[in-house]
Amino acid sequence: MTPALEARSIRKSFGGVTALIDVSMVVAPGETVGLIGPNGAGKTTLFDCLSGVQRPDGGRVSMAGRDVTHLPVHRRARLGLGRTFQRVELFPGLTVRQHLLLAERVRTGEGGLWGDLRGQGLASRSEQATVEAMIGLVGLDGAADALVESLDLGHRRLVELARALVGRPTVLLLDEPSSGLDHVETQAMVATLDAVRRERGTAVVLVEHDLDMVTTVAERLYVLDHGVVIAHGEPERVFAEPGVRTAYLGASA
Amino acid sequence: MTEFLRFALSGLPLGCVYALMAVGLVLTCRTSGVFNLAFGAQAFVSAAVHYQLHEVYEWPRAASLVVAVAVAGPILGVILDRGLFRYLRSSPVVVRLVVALGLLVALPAMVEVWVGSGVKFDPPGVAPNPDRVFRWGDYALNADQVAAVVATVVLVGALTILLASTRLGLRMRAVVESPRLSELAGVDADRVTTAAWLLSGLMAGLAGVLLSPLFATLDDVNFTVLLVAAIAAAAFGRLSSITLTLAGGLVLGVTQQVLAGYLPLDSVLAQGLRPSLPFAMLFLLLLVLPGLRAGAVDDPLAGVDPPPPPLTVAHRHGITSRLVQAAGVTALVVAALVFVSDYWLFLLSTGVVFAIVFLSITVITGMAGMVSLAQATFAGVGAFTAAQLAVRYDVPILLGMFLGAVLAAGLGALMALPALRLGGVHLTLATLAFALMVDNVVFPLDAVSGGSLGLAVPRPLVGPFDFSGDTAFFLLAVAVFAVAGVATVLVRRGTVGTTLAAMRGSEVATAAMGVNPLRAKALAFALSAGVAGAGGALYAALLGRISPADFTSFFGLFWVVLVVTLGARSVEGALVAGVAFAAFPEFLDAVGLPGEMAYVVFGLGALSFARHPEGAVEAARRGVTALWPGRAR
Repeated sequence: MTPALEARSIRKSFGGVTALIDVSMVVAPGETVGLIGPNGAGKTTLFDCLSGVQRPDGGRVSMAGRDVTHLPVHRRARLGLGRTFQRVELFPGLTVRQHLLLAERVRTGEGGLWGDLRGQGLASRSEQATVEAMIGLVGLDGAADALVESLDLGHRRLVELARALVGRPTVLLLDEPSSGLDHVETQAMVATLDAVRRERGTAVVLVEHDLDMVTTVAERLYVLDHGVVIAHGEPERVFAEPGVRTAYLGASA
Repeated sequence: MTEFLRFALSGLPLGCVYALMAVGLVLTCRTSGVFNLAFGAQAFVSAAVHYQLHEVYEWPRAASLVVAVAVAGPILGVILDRGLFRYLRSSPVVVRLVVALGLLVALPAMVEVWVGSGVKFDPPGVAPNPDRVFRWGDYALNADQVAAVVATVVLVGALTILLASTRLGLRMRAVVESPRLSELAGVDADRVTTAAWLLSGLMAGLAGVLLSPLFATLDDVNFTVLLVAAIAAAAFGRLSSITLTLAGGLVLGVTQQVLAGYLPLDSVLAQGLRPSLPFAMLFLLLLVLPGLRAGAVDDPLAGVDPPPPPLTVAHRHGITSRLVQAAGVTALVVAALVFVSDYWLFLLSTGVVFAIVFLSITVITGMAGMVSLAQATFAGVGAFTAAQLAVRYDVPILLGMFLGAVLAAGLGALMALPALRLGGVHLTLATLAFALMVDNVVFPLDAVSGGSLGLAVPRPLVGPFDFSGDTAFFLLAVAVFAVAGVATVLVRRGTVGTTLAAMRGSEVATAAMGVNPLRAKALAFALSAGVAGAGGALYAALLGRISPADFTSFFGLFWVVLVVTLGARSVEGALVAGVAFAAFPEFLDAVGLPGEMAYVVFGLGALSFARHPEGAVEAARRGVTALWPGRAR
């Protein structure tokens, strides 16, 4: 089966600092993959290379068999790559509803200059339905008309997730989705991700520091340390590897 | 060869002054993160102080020089730092830009209020005996030129030593690297920054008095050109290397004089290319140097700052307040028709026409969060297109207006596309370079503007409707403004406006949704340029005769300052700004103040932008709303 997302031998360095060395990763359609590793291991850099925010120095990124290495961020997004950010990136001044409506319009290509001039700035009935369904799915009901800058970090992460989901991605990259969330919210996020995966067959890659959470949702793990994949496979096997324990707990463990 | 070297040598003093300015610019830019567009104005202040003290108050040259260069220059630098830019360190780029623009407009005007606005010939230089000429065989420089070279060598040399081998120099370099890390290491970054501003003020002052004798008159326009040349040199040094910056300034000055020597005096190239060389070079450098963009944010602790407050204003007015507004505007229009004298009707028409032009700033700055200094140029493109089509091919003026707007829009997108990758300050600089280039090369052409006499422009005649009367034209202007205003509101509320608002918040997240950021910005640029072009064409028809003087790049600067001060986010802001632009000179005249006060008032008004990004109109309305208990939000 063609992988939904594949990275082959990605290399990236910033000046003298090598962030990624020959990193390869395969994500099958509908699969959930965890990406873990200590701080500074290169997880976010890998996400940036996958989504097009950074251009890798070498290697290849492909989506559903198509080479996207040289495509810019928005083209990859159109091809079905959604992502969230470690430092939440929202649009201050817009409400939660406006975020989701905009994402829906970008997906469908509706609106645009002529649409605006003909007064079609307000959401149509089907757009409203999509937006409401998404608000219900991620559990933002109470906050739908709030400006995003008034929300706490946990809710902001949910808005980011919802905005990415409205785009109906085939692959979703989540950068630390549970950081800033309490235990109950994390459980809710896990449930949401499960629902998305079951209903839409979306493949998910998540960077996560909460190892409990990541072992709950992920079928396979990749462990990154100093820009190198030191282990990958099913969670139990990965945690049994001595190199992984060294990377996490220090050399003496 | 001798000839070439002679031309090159004569360019050396000019190049030195460029380099001096450029190094000063780099110094403040790197230590305080402010791209000081008011730097040329600072130089002008010192030049004017020297002129006034020496020529008018007849102080001895040395005393006047000391006060102008060593007192006025540094003090102004310190005031700007301590009183203003220090508080803007974590403000968005747009805010810092607009504040600097306000100073660029206000400072020369303040000087002119002080020294009077008449032409000042033969500004004094530095050398005690300016007529003395130094000769080496075939080569010669006069005393002022030698002084420029010597002063630059000494000052830049001293600065290099200061940076390389003193404690203060070490601290400055540390602050350049990261103000916050330096503070953690026990360096008082604020004091170091102030020292940098003081030094750069000194350099601006010196550059000012060195430059002014190279021109026949003391004119602040020369200093805007100086600023652009300095920016080009600074860009050549990638805003960091002092050696490269120095080299860039010298190359620019020398090239300019060599071109002047070889090109025939009366050719288009000589008249256009030579003065516009700094702009052309800046434009090119901005496009080909990718390092400029990457170097913008490299402070490892930049993420520590809280994100700047959003510029957006969530204003939703109820249906009642809209009705009240509509009724008010209608009442004003009727009152204008019934009570007002012909002259005031003309002024009001001018105001409404400018309000249309200013809506272009509402689009590009208010909605898209970009600062374009080329709006007067786009207005000029619309105006000259409509006028030429009408004069040469008898195209109806309204159709010409539309075509002019389309041409301006296309030009806007074309100019913006390569520059948009740069973003922020560099985009603004590119628009400034573009505006100055068109000012110097394109608009003066007979084929464009009809030469010194200008172009006669007819007023519209549509079927049975004749808009040549002032009353009819006023109504036409109001109608066009109403249509443009409604369109602006629709776009702002619609997908395009929301997308632009989203990009102001996070460009990378907008792209991650699938929006092509370049396309969205180019669309904003084209829309804005188109609106400006339409407004410019209407202005041409209102005046009846236009010349390049109606669309100079200085207006482009001032309009941004004016609209942003009064409110770049709302249609009302544009309307108030338009009427203010038309009527404020009358008001000043009536109360007996000089016309330059308009630039002082609105230039200094732009300083309020940091606190009131929504503009004075919206701020005032909120103030009034807050007076009613229960209605305050």
